Amino acid sequence: MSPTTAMYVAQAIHGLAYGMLLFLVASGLTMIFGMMGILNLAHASFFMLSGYFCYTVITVTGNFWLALLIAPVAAGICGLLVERFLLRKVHAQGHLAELLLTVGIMLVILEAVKVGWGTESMMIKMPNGLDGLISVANMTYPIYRLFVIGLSLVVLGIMALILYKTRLGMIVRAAVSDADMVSALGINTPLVFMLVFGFGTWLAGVAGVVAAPLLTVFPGMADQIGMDAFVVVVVGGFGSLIGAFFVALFLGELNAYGIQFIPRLAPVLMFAFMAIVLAFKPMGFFGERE
Amino acid sequence: MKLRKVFFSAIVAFFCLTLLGLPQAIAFEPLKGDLATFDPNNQIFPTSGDTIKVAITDVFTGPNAFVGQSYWATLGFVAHDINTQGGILVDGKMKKIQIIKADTQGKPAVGKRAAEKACLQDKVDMFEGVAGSHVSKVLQQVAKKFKTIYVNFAAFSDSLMDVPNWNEYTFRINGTASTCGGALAYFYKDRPEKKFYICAQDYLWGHSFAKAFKTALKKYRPDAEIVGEDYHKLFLKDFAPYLEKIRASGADVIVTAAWGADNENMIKQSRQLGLKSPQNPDQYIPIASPFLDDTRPLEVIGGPAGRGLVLCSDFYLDRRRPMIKKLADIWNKQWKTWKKPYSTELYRWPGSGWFRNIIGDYWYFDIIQKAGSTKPEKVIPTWEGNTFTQFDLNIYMRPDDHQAIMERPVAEMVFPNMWDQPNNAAPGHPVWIPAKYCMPTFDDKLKGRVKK
Repeated sequence: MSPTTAMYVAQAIHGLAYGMLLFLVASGLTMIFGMMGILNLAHASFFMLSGYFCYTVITVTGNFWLALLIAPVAAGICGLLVERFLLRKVHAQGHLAELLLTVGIMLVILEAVKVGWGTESMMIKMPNGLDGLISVANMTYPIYRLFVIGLSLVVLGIMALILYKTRLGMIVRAAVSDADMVSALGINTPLVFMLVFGFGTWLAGVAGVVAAPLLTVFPGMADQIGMDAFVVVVVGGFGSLIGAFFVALFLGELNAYGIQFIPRLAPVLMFAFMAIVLAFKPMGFFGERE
Repeated sequence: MKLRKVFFSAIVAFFCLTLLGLPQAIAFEPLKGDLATFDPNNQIFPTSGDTIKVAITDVFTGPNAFVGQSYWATLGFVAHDINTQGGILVDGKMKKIQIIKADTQGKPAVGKRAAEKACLQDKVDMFEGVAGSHVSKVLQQVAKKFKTIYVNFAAFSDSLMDVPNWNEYTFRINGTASTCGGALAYFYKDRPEKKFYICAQDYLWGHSFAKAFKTALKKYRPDAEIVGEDYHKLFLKDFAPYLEKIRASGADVIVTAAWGADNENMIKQSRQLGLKSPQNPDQYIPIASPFLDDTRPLEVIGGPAGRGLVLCSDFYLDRRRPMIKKLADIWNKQWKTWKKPYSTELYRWPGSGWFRNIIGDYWYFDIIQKAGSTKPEKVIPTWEGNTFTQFDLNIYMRPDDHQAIMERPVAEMVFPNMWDQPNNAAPGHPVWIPAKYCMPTFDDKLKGRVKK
């Protein structure tokens, strides 16, 4: 493979890796919105929180795999508690109250992180075995980024399996479509809501752990990815997992090739794309008009 | 009778000499105070009576709160040294130093309010900072409005000291885009690397630094080539697409001026992607930057992967120089007794940024000591054209535009290092670039402003 071809191929894989990471964050966000109608502005904060949990687990045990297991679960539990004790209480007040509450939660998490871990950025090393490079046809690529892609695909597979092949998934899909009807059928929808919220934050948590060795864990981490995740959800269509998946991958590639060919415009490409899509399809690609 | 006259004359002469010598006898000298009792976590300043009030106008909250935290340690160190020597004789009294925090949160509007409060309510004699040229620009206006001395330690943009931003109350100690870029280009004058890729943050500082480097490179190394130039948004997540372009360009060196998380991510990800140095394939690609003195990303990539990085800072703790070594040793000895947050590697040595702040503070206090006053009308003419010769340095305050002129260090990272840091590469002995090759820019409109 010529160096130029290698560069283009590498850019495609970089775009894929970032797109998959973005999907992990955006999928939880879009699922929560689809089912509960809550635009969870604190979603990316759970991503950051998980990054910090990951740092702590690694500092204590030195084991990345344990961190990958514990940190998302801890973030998920935080999500469950937030839904059970805060969001459920304001649910009757309407979406505006819920939206404001998520802003409050976002600020509380940010301050808690600063108090708990300080304001300095934390660095996490690549796990052993994934820190090397792989050489294929004259091109070298970091193993860890391939792992990010692989893990995201596994999570996507599990999610699809649960949503489309289990009774729980059926209930969730039904609740996304018509929560009142599901409730009328005798299903405990508040419990389902809570589980979905917890699962959504768990997904953000997985992304937080996976991103931690690539990025820097610092209090601005949530802002970094939060905005991109919102663009994915908006363009993909609120509540659409398929939309989130395709748009996340597209935006990943757009970012990589944008930097390659029109670097000066790369930072705004994502937003320009969102504006164009919304001009023609205000509900996003896969969103349904209410 | 004659004997009595001689006796009285002798007594008068003795008193006169005593009076003349008194200020010298009670003048402070750097590192002569009781520094064995200094602890940044437990600083006590006089709060009542006549004090010399200095405000730290910088970030104390948010992701970059460590910036304000570091000033608290460095200015605190200097104040503790001077206070334990009895203070400074100004306006006919021995006064001690009092430090006040003024949180800018890194935002111009907040910084303006914080600095105004420091001037109006706290009535500070001087305020210092600040990270971010956009914030510094606003603080300079506050200094002018309230006729208070402002010392810029950390805003690097050249244009800050040009007309119309310039004013007589503002002094700049730190380097600039021109000094760092110029010194770096001169450093490569006779070295084998000649293909450079600029990858800087997309705002005033990043562009100024790149421009300064390119201009100086053309002058000192005409056969060198800029093989690529990219400007990325602040706090970018993933540098991989940029780094892939850099790899394909065949660049010998990445020149950047990125700071904070961008700096950390670029270093880390360049190593993760396995970018090697074309000049030395056993080594990773050199990244040249003014902000490589943070040990955290260097620890993560590991010692060997940090070899060859190039630090073009504005100040450097060159321990080959005796007084700098003394400062470093005192600080490091005390550091071993400090608790969090000052017990971290970040504070083990008073590294380049910390050293700059310490020098700047000693210089300001030396000036008010010389002026015998904290009043701007006395401080300004005393500082203009003054040369600070402590700590084995010669720093000249250019009178017309209040910018510090000095030789600038450029150091390559080595591993193992001499800084008791077994897990990371750290700067080796620097090459000192003579001041004439790394001058801050000068706005001709200010030429001849001060006629001495």
